[in-house]
Parts: sequence; C-alpha cells; structure tokens
Amino acid sequence: MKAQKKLNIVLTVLVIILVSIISFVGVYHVEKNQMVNIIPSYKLGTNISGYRKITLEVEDKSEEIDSETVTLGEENENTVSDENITLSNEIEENSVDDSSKENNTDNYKKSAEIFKNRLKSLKVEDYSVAIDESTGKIELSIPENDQTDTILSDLVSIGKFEVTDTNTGEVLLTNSDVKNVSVDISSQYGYTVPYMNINFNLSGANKLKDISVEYNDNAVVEANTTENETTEETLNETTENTSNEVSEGISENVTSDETNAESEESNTVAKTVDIKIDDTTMLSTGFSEVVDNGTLQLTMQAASDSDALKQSLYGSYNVAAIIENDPLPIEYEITENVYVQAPIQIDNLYVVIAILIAIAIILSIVMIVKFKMKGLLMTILSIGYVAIHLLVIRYTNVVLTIDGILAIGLSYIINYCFAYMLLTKIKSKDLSRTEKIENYNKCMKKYIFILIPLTILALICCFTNWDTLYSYGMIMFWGILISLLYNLTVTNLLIRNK
Amino acid sequence: MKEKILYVVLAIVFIVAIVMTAVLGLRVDLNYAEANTITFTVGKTINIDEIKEIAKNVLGNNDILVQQVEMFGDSAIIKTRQDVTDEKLTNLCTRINEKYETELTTGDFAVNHISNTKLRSVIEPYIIPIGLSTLLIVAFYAIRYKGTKKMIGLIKYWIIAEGLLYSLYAIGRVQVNEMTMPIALALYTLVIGIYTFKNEMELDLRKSKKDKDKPE
Repeated sequence: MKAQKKLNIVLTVLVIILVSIISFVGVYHVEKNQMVNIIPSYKLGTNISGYRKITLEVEDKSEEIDSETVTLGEENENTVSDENITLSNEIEENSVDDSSKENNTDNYKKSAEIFKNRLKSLKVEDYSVAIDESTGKIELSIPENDQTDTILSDLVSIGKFEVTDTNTGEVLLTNSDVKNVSVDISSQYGYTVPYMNINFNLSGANKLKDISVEYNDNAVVEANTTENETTEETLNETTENTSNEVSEGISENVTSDETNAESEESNTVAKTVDIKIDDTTMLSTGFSEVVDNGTLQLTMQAASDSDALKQSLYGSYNVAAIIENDPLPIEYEITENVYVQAPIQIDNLYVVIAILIAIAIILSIVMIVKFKMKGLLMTILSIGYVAIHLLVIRYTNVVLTIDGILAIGLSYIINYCFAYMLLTKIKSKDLSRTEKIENYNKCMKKYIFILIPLTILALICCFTNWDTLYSYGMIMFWGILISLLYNLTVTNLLIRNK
Repeated sequence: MKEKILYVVLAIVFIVAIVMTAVLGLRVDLNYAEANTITFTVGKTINIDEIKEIAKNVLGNNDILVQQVEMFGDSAIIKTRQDVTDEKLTNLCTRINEKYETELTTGDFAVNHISNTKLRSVIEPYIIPIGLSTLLIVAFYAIRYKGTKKMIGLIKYWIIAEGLLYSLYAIGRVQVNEMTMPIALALYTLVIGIYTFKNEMELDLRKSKKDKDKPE
C-alpha cells in the first residue's frame, strides 16, 4: 500500500516534469530539413509586436482652388471668369479671417473625437490618438490585422449621411437622427447577406415614420424630368467602394420596372427617397409599408464564401461606423500609413520576464526552506501549473500583451498562495490522513472565496474589445480555472498519497 | 497612533505628488512625448541596434527611440526630442551611407513633428472595466463579510497602493511608459488578492475561536 502511494507520487511528478518540458522546450519534428516545434507559438499583441501608424493631415483645399484658378485662367486668358474672381475672393477671405484659427482648432479637436468614435464603433479599442492642435495633424496607431486596411479605406470619409427627396433634394434625415447602427447576417438562396439596421433616435424615428407614409410605393409626383432619370441609373452612380457594396446588395429593393412603366404612362414618377453618403446616392427607394419601429434595414453585398463574407462584413461595419457618428467638419487625408514595430524594446521585455522568474524562484526557495520536502513537492507542482497555463494560452490563441505577461505572473502568485495556505495547514507531522484531507477541503473552500473577486475582474476584462485588457482577462481567467482544476486533481492526489 | 502617523505621511506624499504633477507634469517616455521623427528606407536589411548607435552619435542624446518600419527590415523610424537640423540630418545620412554602402540623400529622410499622446487617452480604456469590477467586488465583499468595513478597507488599500505608484512616477520622476498601466492593473489585482486572502484568514481564525469557545 505504501509502495503504491510512493509510486503514485513519483508518477505524478514525472508527468508534471514531462508536461513542463513540452511547454518550456517544445516538441520538435523534422520538416523540410528543419526542426519545427509542433506546439503553437504565442500570438503577440500590439504592444509587443507592432501596430499600424497612420498620419492624417487636413486636406489642403487652397491648393486645389489655386490649381483650379490656374486652369481656368489658361482656358480663357483674355477674359477674367466670374468663377475665378469668386475663388480668389474666397482665398482672401480665408486668410484674412482671424477668428477662423480658433474655429479650426475646434474643428481639429472635433475631427479627432470623430475618428476616435468611428474606431470605437468599429470595435477597435486598442488605438492611440495624438493631435497637433495648431495644424490639425493627427497621429493614429491601431492594431495590425486583416481588418486594418478596410478600416483605413473609409476612415477619412466625411461621412455625411442623408436621406433626401429624390425629386426636390430636400434633406429628410441626417446623421444627427441616427441613434446607432447594427450589422448582422442572414441567409438567402445559398448566399449569406450582411445587413445593416439603422436605428433612429426618437425624433429620427418619428421623421422616418412620416417619410414611410409620405413616400409609400403608391405615392407619385408629377414628372418634371426626362426618362433618363431612372432608379436603376441612380443606383449605378455610386463611386466609392463602400457605396458600391451597398448599391450592389440592395439592388433587389429597387422599385420594380413595372411601377416605373406605369409612372411613365401617366407622366408621373413614384415618390422616392435617396439614401446618400457624402452626396453619393447609395439607394433610391420607396416604402412598401409604414416603418414605425424607427429602424431602417439596408441589405449589403451578398457573399458566397467566407472570404467574401468577411470583406462584405468589414465594409458594412465601416458604413455603420460612418453613419452612426457625426460627419467630419473638415476633410482629412492619409499622408502616412506604415507598420511600425512596437516601441517596447525586446530587451525590456526580457527584463520583465526575468524579474517574474526571479520572484518565482525566491518564493519557491522560501517554500522549500519553510516546508522542506513538502515545499519542494509544491514547487514542482507550481512549475507544472505554469507549464499547463502557458500551453493553454497557446492552444486557445489568447493574444499575449504586456498586461498578459503580468497576468501569468499574478496567476502563479495566486496559485502559490493556495500552496502556502495548504502547507501551513498540513505541516504538522501529527496529523492523520483524514485530518489532512479535511484541512485540504477547508483550504480549497477558502481558496474558492479568494478566487471569486479575481474571477469577477478577469471576466469583466474578458468582455472588453481592447486587446490589452482582453489578454489580461483571458490569461487571468485561464490561470484561475487551471489553478482550481489543478489543485482539485493533482494536488489533491498528492495530499491523499503523502 | 502609528496608523495615524502613517496616514499623515501618506497624505503629505500624495499632496507633494499632486503639486509636482501640477507644476512639472509627469515625465513621459519618448513614445508618448512630443518629438521629431526621421523616417527612412535604406534598401538593405538594417540592424536596429546599429541605427540606434548612429542616431545617438549624430543627435548626441541617449533619449532616442528607433523602431523598425514595415516588414522588409530595410526601413526605420528614429524618434527624438531634439530639433533635427539640416546639419544633423546630413550627418545622419552620411553615417548611414558609410555603414550600409548606399547613396541616400537627405531628401530620402522624412522629418516629421509628432505631438504628444495625452495620458488621459492611455488611462481612459481602463476606467470602465476597473470601475465596474470594483463595484461588483465591493458587492461581493458586502455579502461575504457582512458590512461596510471590509468594503471600505479594500478601497482604502487600493487607493493607497495606486497612490504610492503614482507618487513614485510624480516625485521619483520615473518615466511613464507602456509598462505603467499594466503595472497599475497588476497592483490592483494584487491588492484584491492579498486583501481577500487576509480577510479569509481572519474569518477562519474567528470561526475556530468561536468553535473553541462553544460549550461542549
């Protein structure tokens, strides 16, 4: 019986050592004449690997006006065109106006705020923004991933969302009427179709209801234009990529040809609205029923495979982020767009890791000195715990950030606390096996209560979209869960056999 | 009495830290600071340490940040608080040409002025998650330890720990960098863990005392 118990302990220790070797060293095999580790590598976060650095500068409109003036001058050298005079006057006015400086600073700040809000809407939390208030230059850094380029393609759009009367051009709804925009997907005829729900605020919802009544499919207005202004052509006017995606997807919603034909016959056209982004018409449509829920649904580009769906979804998120935020007060352009290695020096990171290892060694020495053999056994168990934790982090693809590295250290300390608490309770040699088990159960109960607040913190961090906190939360969560299971199984087994 | 003295000392330290921040501001590292950048592409694989060494010699300052740009390993960005004069740029260009046997001109070096990152934007993302978790943890404390004493204790120790960290940065003029917020978060976690551990031990002690006092 005693020999069996010893064998159990030896076997457990051997398994721990094996797992530790797998985790810390790896498992290698030969692939294309190279030794390749089959254990996945760590997925590094923005503050360890790198990020996309974007410089946004205010688009120089005066240059454009200047060049336009020159062109006009060349076309008709002898006559001074009216337009030329107007443009020159505009430039003079701009330079003379002193109060415009202050106004510009406000606009720069507002623009930076809008960029931040757009990034938040796109669930890009791991960003940083720096603004030069005198020039309006904005430095952005965002994580590098497969969505980055799509985000940047529309980030500097003015983002003026309007619902206008097709015939009169009267603006019926704007960005200020929008509460939020959600993007979802549905399946239709074997295609997956992303769609946007534009949810309007109270005043917007009321306006939308009135519009849906006024612009229902049966409503007509006397035609004052020629036949070439058909809805289909209006749809094809879109030029920007996002607008294209929307227009392609929503073509099915367009008023039917039959209705158009009827309208032509009676010399009237259907009363429709244009949905525009930055004065580009995305869709002209009427309403088949009264919209009283304050939500306007727009179907986006359908996708047949996962890659196309991903791109379509990313495009939809971009449009949603533009619509649900205010339009930019001034035009910006991207002047620099590069991937930059993280500022943290790899040497500094090694210092952090070395400090954490040193702390672990000191704690282990304290435990061994205080509890002798039992302390040594617990130290081996702790090494096994860290090894399993690191394996789980890699297999669950958790992003490793600086916060995440600290979370590994903290998880070790939490697990160490349990070991210390347990050894204090069972260090006496006079304790019987039953008493030891009883003490173990008491410790376990206490440990669960200690873990509750830490689990709350970890779970809340897990629900953030910000890479850094998410990494911290996930690593802490796994650390707590593994510690609990590890101590319930391996430590429990050793206590029962010792 | 000892506790009172300790609190007075802590209060003095915190006030000094706040005054120093108001007068001098916090000392930020180059990544968050207002600076000038020099971006260039050599066209050959470069060694960041070598570039850093050259930049230090040319710009005459140790406070330099060199980062690799793009994935090809031939571009870099040098960040410095110093003014980048034409003379310095020419010197840098010459030294890099000598090192990598290239024929770059100063026109190949893009100099930009970068504004500082507001520390508020660094702290901002932590506020809601930490605030929410503090609320929930405090609620847990109210249930587990019955009463407000432990709840207040947790918040008190948390403020003291974070306050001391802040004072270290403000009075000690330690540079605020990418490690600052992770350290503050780790400290918060440690305070929660240690304080809960302490409370559980106290609860255990009280329970066993009660059991002993019970008449058989």
